[in-house]
Amino acid sequence: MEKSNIKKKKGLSPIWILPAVALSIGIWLLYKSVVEKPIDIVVHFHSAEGVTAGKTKVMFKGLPIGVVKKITVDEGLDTVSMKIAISRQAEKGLVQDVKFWIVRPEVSAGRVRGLETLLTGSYIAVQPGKSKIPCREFVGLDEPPPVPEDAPGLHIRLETDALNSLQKGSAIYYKDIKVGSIQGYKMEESGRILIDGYIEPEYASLVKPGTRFWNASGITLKGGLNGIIFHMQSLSSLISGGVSFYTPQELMNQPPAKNGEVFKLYRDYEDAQYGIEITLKLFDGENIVEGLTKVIYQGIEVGRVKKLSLNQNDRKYKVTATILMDPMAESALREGTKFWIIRPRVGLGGVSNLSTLVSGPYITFVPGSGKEKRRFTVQGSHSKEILKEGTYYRLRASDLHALDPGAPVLFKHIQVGEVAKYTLNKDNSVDLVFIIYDEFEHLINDRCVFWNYSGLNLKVTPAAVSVSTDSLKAILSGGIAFDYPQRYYKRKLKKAKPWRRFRLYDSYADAVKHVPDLKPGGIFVRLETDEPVSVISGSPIYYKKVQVGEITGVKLDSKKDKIVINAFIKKNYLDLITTSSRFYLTSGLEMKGSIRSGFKVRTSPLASIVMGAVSFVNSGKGKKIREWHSFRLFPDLESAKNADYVPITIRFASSRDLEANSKLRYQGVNIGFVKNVQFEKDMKSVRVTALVNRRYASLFTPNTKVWVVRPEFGLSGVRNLETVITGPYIAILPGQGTPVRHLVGLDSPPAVPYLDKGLHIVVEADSLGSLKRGCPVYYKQVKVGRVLGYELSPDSSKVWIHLNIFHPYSPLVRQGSRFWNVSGVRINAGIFSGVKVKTESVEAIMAGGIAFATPEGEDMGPTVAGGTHFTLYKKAEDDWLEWSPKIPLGKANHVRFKRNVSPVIGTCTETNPAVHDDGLE
Amino acid sequence: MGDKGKTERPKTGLEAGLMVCHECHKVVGIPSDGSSADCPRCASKVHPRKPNSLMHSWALVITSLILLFPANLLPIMKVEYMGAAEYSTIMDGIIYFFKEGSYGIGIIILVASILVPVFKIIGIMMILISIHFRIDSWLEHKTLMFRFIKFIGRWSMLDIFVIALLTALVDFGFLSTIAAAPAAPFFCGVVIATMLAAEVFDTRLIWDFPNDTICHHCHMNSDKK
Repeated sequence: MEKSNIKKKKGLSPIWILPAVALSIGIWLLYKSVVEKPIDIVVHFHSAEGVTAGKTKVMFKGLPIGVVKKITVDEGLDTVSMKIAISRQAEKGLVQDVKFWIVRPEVSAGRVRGLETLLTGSYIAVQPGKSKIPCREFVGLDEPPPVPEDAPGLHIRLETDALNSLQKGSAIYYKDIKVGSIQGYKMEESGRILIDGYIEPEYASLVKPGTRFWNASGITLKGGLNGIIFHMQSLSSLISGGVSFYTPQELMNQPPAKNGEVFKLYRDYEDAQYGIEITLKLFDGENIVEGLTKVIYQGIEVGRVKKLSLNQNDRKYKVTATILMDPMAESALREGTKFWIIRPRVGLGGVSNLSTLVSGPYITFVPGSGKEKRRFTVQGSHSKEILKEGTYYRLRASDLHALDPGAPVLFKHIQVGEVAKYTLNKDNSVDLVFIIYDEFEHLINDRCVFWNYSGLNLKVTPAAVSVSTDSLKAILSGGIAFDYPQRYYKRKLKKAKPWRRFRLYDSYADAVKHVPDLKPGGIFVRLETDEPVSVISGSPIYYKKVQVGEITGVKLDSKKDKIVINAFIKKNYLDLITTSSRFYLTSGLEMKGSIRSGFKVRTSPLASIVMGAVSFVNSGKGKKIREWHSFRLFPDLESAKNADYVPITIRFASSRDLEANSKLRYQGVNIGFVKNVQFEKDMKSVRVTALVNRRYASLFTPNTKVWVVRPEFGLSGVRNLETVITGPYIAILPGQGTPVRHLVGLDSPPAVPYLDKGLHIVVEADSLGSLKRGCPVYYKQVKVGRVLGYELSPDSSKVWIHLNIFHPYSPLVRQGSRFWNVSGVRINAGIFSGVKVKTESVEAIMAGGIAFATPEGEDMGPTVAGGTHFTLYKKAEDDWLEWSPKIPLGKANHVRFKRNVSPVIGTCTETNPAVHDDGLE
Repeated sequence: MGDKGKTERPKTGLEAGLMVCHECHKVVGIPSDGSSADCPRCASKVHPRKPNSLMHSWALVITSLILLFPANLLPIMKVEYMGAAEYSTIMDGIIYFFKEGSYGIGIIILVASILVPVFKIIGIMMILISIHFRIDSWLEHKTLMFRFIKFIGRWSMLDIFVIALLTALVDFGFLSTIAAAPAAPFFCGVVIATMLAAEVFDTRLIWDFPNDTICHHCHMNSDKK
């Protein structure tokens, strides 16, 4: 007893430390929760959509600082109050002008934002305030607030007349990088709109007082025949609008813009181009395109036509162009400065300046002296004013043709002068004055012969280039060419006197006719065609894209129903042309075709794009030609090549989707194509005219079978799938007899649509099952043949299935062979035996098939003759599968393997009909 | 059997001057001079009753009672889904399951995580108090209850296991992560403390007081003496 008492006095057991520790932790937690008790605030919102009490958080810079505790509808029923517990850490921030707004996922035409909230749920965002007055009740915003005025970064104002598609939140781009956004806008009483823009701090220095802002909303598309400007900002600006800016290089040194600076917001990029505005009065606005036509000085773009306006009362200068000049050209804008328009002219020798063809004319000037000036009047064609120094000569012509002043005078396709002016004489002939530039003066001598080099005056020229623009007219305005007989080239001839009068021949041919000396080595040939042509004098003649001559004239023949083209072939290419040559028109770029027949794109030398060209091909050997041999001019290479195709007409009950260019195939090889599909006169059937290569024409005999191969879709399968893409084609099975040109097509493929190659046997089945034409025939799971077709036996008790065993495999079929159906999958399942799945091949699962086996030894029997009948069993007996006789394959097979490197048996047998003749069959 | 046992109770070992070795269960006579001795068979200490059993039980029960509050009031699990963290207390989880219609799981968690610890604490406290105040009725029931408390004790770790499993299983970085939250250690504390409290408690004490004859290591009793 005593002891126990003593023990007791030892004091408190250390076990009591545990509750003490637990208690102190509890007290600490309690204290913490009291100290850190969130502050309740109330925020009124218009809608609590997406906000869940207890879940929705208040986020500040991505950190949760509070949570919505309770949502109640306010008394007026038009707002909701949210009781929000805000972390005590944020207590100091709860001042009067703190802004709250709900961030919800928003996907609208205007913008996409808050997408992260799709997953995390909406949250309430906070923007801290500046005020010092604490506050516990707030009104939430419906929209994110603008960046506060004093936030770091640049706050600018943009002044504009129309807001266009700009809206709050639209981005501000610099070189397509988003550097800021539109914060808001307001309209002043004057109707002017002031847009508040905010540039983020790191980009603020990009904005200088001279920076130009323009509306980058959406797509800008402008232009005309001479070209198109297509300008697109980023897709988001396309949707929500945007503003872009740039600072001209020379202003980059300016100090950065200040907060609150007002900029003009230009309508578009062009508008914002920094420059000096000048006006230029023009005779007309032809080919001058707003925003596109440039002012070029010494090859440098120094301005652009910004606007064209009509002058109401000025009869001479009908158009005023407003031009924005680059400031660097400012010093040139003086009283003496002369402006004129350069219309592009393309030399007949080439199209080196193709860009001007597209970009159209431009404006240039010669700087003058005098006072500064901003209003100018265009000068006449520069060719009159700014001629090079040269000597003048005269020409007498019967007709002016298209020889406007400025038309070139060419010597060997080099411009050596130009037409200065023309006068009409009393006898109705035309006198032309032309100038030969100084450096070419020596070319003019008394022997010179001049001829009109104009494009044909027949108005067939638009056919040449169907996208003809006015600029092209310049090319076709023609010129004068001259030459003198070659034998004088080496001699020094006396220069012709200035103002000497020459005769102008109508064409080169005409000139040659009158001055035979002129004719260089070569001959003329005549090309005839019925269709309008797109060539002009000077158009090149190509052979394999090498120029071998040129067109010297185009005219209608005397009966006016044919176009006769004179073509000159240079001497060294003469032997290329024979009676079998076929000439055809080449235009620069040809693209034709359809999904079915394929696309063809062919380009030709550039010059032919502009002037058109003629090419020729040789098909076979021909005789040498004589001068002025007549050729037919084919419209294109295809028809030139097909000129020796034999037309075959086939009558079908319906067109069966055939169309021009559908192919004719024999054994998978194209032998021709459909030229056209027409109704027969009785309107009940169609007549397909096909062009067949002459070599294959003999395949078409009275008993040739012709049918259309089309895609077939059915429960039983899909066949000829390739024709979905390639389009239907006509297949033929040649018969015997004398070739004919008219045939009647079959409505459906013949029962045996292939030639008898290999071994043709018949298996008799009780029912067809899922077998179809084309189903494979397997021997040891090797495809050795296929189902050709099927029919009911004459007494209708069986189905006769025609099989074709490919050639090298025909010895495999013996009298004792057993055939069975391997269509589909056979599954044998038993509790003890497990599951057996038997298929022959995937193809057999899909389409069905036939397999056969041949017994060994004496049961094998002899080889069979074509047409032998076998029974088709429903399934194989087990011992059949074990048969494995040694049978040498057809001899021809080995021979062919040596002959034909390709080891692909199927294709060998099918495409090499010559081999079959010595087969075993 | 309770009332009947009260009147016709057989002698306890203590009354008979015997104590049992806890290691080898050898019955040893209580030495007259002291209350503890070495077991003659296995040489371990043999006490008539576990020393300081009541006091240790009290301390541990009080600890678990204190820890019970933070364990249930603080969040026990943190679920981060797409970067948004969500904390849930034990009760949140139970409510969630009930709301979702998974009543079975809800009930299991409710029983294992809330009812069992509370029941354990209350049960042990009841026994301790009844010993303290020498309430000698329902002795058999109290013993049964204590056995049940001891048996059920380990199951209240269920919640912790679930969280530990989920933390390991659901760790997809930004996509979603589950982690234990502050309440988890407290909850562990509750479970461990109650288990220990049950462990250190000597069930025989339940039966000792009604006899009220023998003095043993329970100081309260000796005070009375």
